[in-house]
Amino acid sequence: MRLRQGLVAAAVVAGLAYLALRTPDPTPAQPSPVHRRDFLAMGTLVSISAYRGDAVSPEQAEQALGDAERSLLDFEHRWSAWGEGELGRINRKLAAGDTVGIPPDMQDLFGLAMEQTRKSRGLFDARIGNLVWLWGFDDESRYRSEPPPAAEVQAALAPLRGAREFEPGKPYGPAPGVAWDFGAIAKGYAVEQAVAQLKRAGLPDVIVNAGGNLRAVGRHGDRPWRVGIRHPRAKSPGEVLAALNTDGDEAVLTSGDYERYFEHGGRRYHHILDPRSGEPARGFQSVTVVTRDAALADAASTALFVAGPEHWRDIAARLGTDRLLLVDAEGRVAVTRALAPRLEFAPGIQYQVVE
Amino acid sequence: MTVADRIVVVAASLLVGILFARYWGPAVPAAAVELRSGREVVARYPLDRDRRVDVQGRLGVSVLDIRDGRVRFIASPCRNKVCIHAGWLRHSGEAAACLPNRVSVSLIGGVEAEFDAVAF
Repeated sequence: MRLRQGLVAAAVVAGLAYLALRTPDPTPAQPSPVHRRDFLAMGTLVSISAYRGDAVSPEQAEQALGDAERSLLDFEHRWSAWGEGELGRINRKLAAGDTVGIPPDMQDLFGLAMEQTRKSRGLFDARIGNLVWLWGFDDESRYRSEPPPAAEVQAALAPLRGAREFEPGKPYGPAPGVAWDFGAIAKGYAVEQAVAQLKRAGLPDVIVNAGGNLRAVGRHGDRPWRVGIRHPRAKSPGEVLAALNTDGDEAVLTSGDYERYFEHGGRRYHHILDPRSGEPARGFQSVTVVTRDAALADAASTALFVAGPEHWRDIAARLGTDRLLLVDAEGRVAVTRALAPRLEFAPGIQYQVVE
Repeated sequence: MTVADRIVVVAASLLVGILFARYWGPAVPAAAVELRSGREVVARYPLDRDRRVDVQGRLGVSVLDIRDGRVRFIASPCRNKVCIHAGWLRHSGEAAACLPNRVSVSLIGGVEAEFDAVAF
C-alpha cells in the first residue's frame, strides 16, 4: 500500500512537473484574427494591426494592409521635404525665390499646419524646413554627431521671423529662407488617412502606429485595443509608463527626446527643435497627448514639448487639449486630471495628478 | 485509502496540474523573429535557438543576437546606435529598427502581447 501511494505521488509530481516545464505549442489552432504588418516609412517604423471580422477573408485583409502600406509610402514620397516628390519640388522653388501654387490635395495639411502654428504661437511651425535640414533630423542617412555651428543655426532661423503665412487657395511665396517640413504633423495626418482607408476596405478595427503616432479605432474582438505608453528612458521596447484601453476612437501621440537624437559632450541633442532658439527644446523627456484627431495631436505634442514645464498649460488651453501625460527632464511624471482615470501605471511609476 | 479517495486525489491533482499549466506555465512571449532589409523580409528564425544573424542593409551589415527567446541589435553601421540602445525585444509585437541602415526586426507569434501597440 505504501509503495502504491508512493507511486501515485510520484506520478502526480511527475505530471505536474511536466505541465509546468513543458513548452506550450506556439502555433495557435486557428489563424489569428489579428493581421499585422511592420514596415519602414516616413523615417520611422510603421505597424498596422487589424482585427479581422467575419465579413472579410484573410486574403482580403492582407490585400487591404498591403494597399495601406503602399498609400503610406506614396504619402512619404509626396511629403518628404527634400525628396523627388511634390513637397521637395515646392521647397526647391521657394529656395529659388519663386512663388509656388500648392496642389489642391495638399491644401488641407498646409492649412492645418498653419492653423496649429497660429494657435501655438509658433511653438509648432512647419516652416522650419531649413533648420531641420541643418540639424540633419529629416534624413536618417545623414544624421549628425555634433550640433551645427551657432551662426548657421541663427542663419536658418532669421527668415522665420515674420515669415509669410500660408493662406488657403493662394500661391505661397516668395518666402526667401523658408522651407516647409511637416515632420511634426504629417505622421499624425497619415495615420488618420490610413485608418480611413482600412475602414473603407472593410477593416473598422485597426491600430496604425507610425513611430509612436498612433490611431486606434474599433476593438480587438471582445476587448478594447490596449496601448502602452513607452517609458522615455526604457531599456527595452516593452518597458512602458502606463497602459491605456482605448475607447474605440482615439489617437495617442508622443513626442519624445529619444526617437531621434545624438549625444555630444555629455548632452543629448534630439529632433524636437524650438523654433525660437533653433535648438532642441529642453524641459521634457516626453509629452503624450490623447485625443480624437491624430494630426492635431501630433502638432500639439510637439508644441507642448517645446513649451516646457513652465508654459505647457497655456498652450494646452489654446490648442484645446487636456488629456496629457508629461515626463520632465528629471524624469518626474505628471498626468492631467482628465487623463488620470484612464491610465494604468506600471508598477513602481510615481506620478502626480495635475490640473 | 479507498477507491473513492484515490479518485478524488487523482482528480484534484489533475485539476491543479491543468490550472497550473494554464496560468503559470512558462509563457512563450514570442515564437519567432522576422528580419527585414528595406522593403524585403529577409528571414524568419524561431527564438528557441540562440544564434547571431547578419542582415545586409543599405549601409552595411547589422548584427542581431538571438538569445534566450529574445533579440537585439548588437552592431550596426549607423552613427548614433539608437537601434542598439533599444535593447532586448521580448514580446510578440515588439519591433526595432536601424533606420539609417533600413534594417528592422519584429517579434511574431507566441502568446498574445500585453499591448496591441506602444506609443513611443
